[in-house]
Amino acid sequence: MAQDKFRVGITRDNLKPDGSPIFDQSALKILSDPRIEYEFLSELESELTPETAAKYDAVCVMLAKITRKTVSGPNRRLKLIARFGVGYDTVDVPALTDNGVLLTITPDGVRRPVASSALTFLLMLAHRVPTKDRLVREGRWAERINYFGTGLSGRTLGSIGVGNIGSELFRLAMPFAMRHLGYDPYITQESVAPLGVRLVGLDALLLESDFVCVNCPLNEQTRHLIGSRELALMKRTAYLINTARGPIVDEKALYQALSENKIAGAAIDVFEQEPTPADNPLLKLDNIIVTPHHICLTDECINTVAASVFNACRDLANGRVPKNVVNQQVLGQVPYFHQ
Amino acid sequence: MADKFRIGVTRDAISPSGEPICGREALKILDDPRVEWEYLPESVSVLTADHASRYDALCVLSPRVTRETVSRSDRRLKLVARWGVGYDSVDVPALTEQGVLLTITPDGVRRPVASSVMAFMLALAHRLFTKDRLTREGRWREKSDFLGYGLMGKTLGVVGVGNIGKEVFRLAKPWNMVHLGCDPYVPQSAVSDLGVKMVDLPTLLKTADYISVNTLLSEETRGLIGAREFGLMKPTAFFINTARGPVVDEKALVDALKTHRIAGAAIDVFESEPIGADHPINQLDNVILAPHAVCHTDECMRLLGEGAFGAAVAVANAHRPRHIVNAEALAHPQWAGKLHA
Repeated sequence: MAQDKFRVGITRDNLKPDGSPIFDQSALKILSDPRIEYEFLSELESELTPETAAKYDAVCVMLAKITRKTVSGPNRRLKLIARFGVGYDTVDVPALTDNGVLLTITPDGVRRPVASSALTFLLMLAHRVPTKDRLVREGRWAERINYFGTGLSGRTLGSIGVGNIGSELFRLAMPFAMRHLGYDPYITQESVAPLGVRLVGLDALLLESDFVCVNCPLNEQTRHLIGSRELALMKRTAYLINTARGPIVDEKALYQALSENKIAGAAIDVFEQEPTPADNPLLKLDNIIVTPHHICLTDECINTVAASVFNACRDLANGRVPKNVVNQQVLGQVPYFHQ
Repeated sequence: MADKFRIGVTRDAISPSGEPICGREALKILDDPRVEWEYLPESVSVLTADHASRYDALCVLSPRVTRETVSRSDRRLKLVARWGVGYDSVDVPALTEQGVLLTITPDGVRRPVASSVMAFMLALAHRLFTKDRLTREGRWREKSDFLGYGLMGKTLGVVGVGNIGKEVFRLAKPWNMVHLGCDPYVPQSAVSDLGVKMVDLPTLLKTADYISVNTLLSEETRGLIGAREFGLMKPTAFFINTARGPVVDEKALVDALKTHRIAGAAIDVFESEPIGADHPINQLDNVILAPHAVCHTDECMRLLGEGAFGAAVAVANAHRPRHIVNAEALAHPQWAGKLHA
């Protein structure tokens, strides 16, 4: 009897409304491996079910939550959760580790697109582009004199988190001759010196920065890291940029700070609840830019990320250790590898 | 007894709150013992021979300077110090004939305008305006129809590779794009260190994914980009103009956007400014607009003020100012032996 193929499932939120995948067909070609058969999951699951875990060796996951329940059912076949992206706040990593399930992420695919998005937000806020567009369309040209932007030379760019994405942000920002501050308890000053970054405490970063960018993961240490106390430390002329995860920032506190002009403005791609409801008061403000957790999703991003995800599946299907495993402890515990 | 060097500053240098738009620090340059200065008593759109009879130097934002301004026999004016680098609002030959110097402020606009070009390019690439609209309208689920465009490996074409154009390439460097430039006055050797390949205009238009206009407005560049040029561009190309409106045929631009001949644009300047709410471009959602002010940051205003005031104070102290547009004006007899370098 023929060896059972390595079965790969792909979550349905990777399909556009017309049913075609959001990534190029060329990315899917990576899964045209004789050992692999793949399909899109038949339903959009907000939490992957144990039945799904019984059906596939690997699931390529966009939004779905992975819980202990997912991986603790009978006949678990699942060996790999390959996330599109680098966030894994929606994944119960200890549960995966306890059950011999690998988690991979895609740092290479998101590094440039997310850093580029953060700098885009920064430039939009600094030059007040959305406001200026509105002035023209509303025939309010003469009011432009009330809306001078913020020049960047010598201003301070602060990043909460100077990891994969935070470092790239500083690289892209280099020619703008800003002052670079970072807050990151997990790295050394030496490691970020080449980026011109000085590591400081969170409060100092908030007090001194003209642009505060959130570039850290969401976990128990960072949930509501930025609340009303932190927003009050920021300059009234400063801007907050969040391309990381919504719950890192207390959204109600952000609304209050913006509506009371305690900070100059913000740009956020992420919300505490997603999709964010149409009646979220933040959406009515004109000193905020809002995007639907999608600002980094360029063709370059989705195709690089998809290639990374599918390569992880192909590696494991061929008995190789995939790249970018989050829960490395699993590697020594499971019999999946023969290379 | 020597009269002080009188400097007039046009009133649009004052913000609505009464503060100088360049900030108070920049104004300190005018605290020079040889100088007395004031804002012009009224807001004007054209400077007059009366103004030219009252001041040795005028620091000018938007008012025009014409032949009439400088041609009366009681002219005292020796210098027009513009805030900015455009001088399409100044009759340069008339000034030169009368020995009136014109200075501009390239330092003041270089980074602010180049930064604006980057802001526009990134906003178009990431489809930021569309995504903001989707979010506010609760159309979150439609987002997958609006993938942005990664810049890596894409081609940035700059028309006019001068002060600002070169700075655009410097700011864009980390993005790993292909850099093309078009400028009849800039040889390849002048830009090789910036990783720029100089090509002719049709080649640039056919190849570039992002096209930025950074030329001055002159008879040579008026209408440079028209229907034919939009016809050469890729249907996926984005067009950015932060230079001067009349460099582009505005009707052709609007047509190109309406018919999706190109993917989109970002426009800070128009053939006739200001434009009203009824301008057809306001109906389009594939263009980002700004009121000839996208580069107007505090830094920009400070540098413009410093540049213009610096030029005036230099002349007050018998020094040759920087960034003279019409150096031939120095041949006029009124300058004989007057300025040292």
